[in-house]
Amino acid sequence: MIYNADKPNHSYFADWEKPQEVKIKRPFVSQRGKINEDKIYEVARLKYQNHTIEVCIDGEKVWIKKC
Amino acid sequence: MSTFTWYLQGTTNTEIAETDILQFAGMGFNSTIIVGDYNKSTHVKTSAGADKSSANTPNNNRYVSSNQVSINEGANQSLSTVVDSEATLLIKIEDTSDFEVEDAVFYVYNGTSVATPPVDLDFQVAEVGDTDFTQALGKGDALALDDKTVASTEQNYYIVASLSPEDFGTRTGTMRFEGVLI
Repeated sequence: MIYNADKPNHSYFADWEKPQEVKIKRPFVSQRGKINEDKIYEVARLKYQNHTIEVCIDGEKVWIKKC
Repeated sequence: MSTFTWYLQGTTNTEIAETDILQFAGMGFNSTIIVGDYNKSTHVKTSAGADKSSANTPNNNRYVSSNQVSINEGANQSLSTVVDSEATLLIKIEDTSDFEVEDAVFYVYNGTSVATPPVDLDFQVAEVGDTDFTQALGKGDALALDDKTVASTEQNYYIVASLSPEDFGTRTGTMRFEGVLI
């Protein structure tokens, strides 16, 4: 899932306002010319003025971590 | 979806496919390395045992000291003078859209636990441009690779790699490349 400002169910925390920067990160593992599928998930990094958080999406699982 | 392709570089690059083995050997394919010495040739071996890189004059990088290397058994040289085309390994990442790479690491482990080194192997690696080798045994001692901060549909990593057996017998390990695409 990638953030899309045009979709009604995609919203940032209202009182934090819009982040200064949003980047989608894709962790990978590769061994001998193949991708190891066990580590393919997406991370949305949201950078605010005073802090940065990462929203990790792995299938149906979603978690947030502070950077 | 990005694709990752590993090559043993040489006059012509040889792809190291999912079922192939990167073989570090003595003077030729399937020849042994004396315990304590480092590889004098490097090859790609298929799962059927064939020498896949035989016609491609594959590169060899032999560890000499922490900051010296021999390329294709030539004179010892400073590791920092190695150029991209002389490295043993090329890992190519491709995508249809521009991307960057950060926090990439490279190491060898026992194939089961990323924290556990292979048995009786000394594995020395460096990224082209490095001044010193890194003994990349297990994820905790991984070689940190440079970030790729210029977005492109293709990013390449050139890695100098050499190993030495610490005891008799066939020694194996699994090379692993990790990082984050942005």
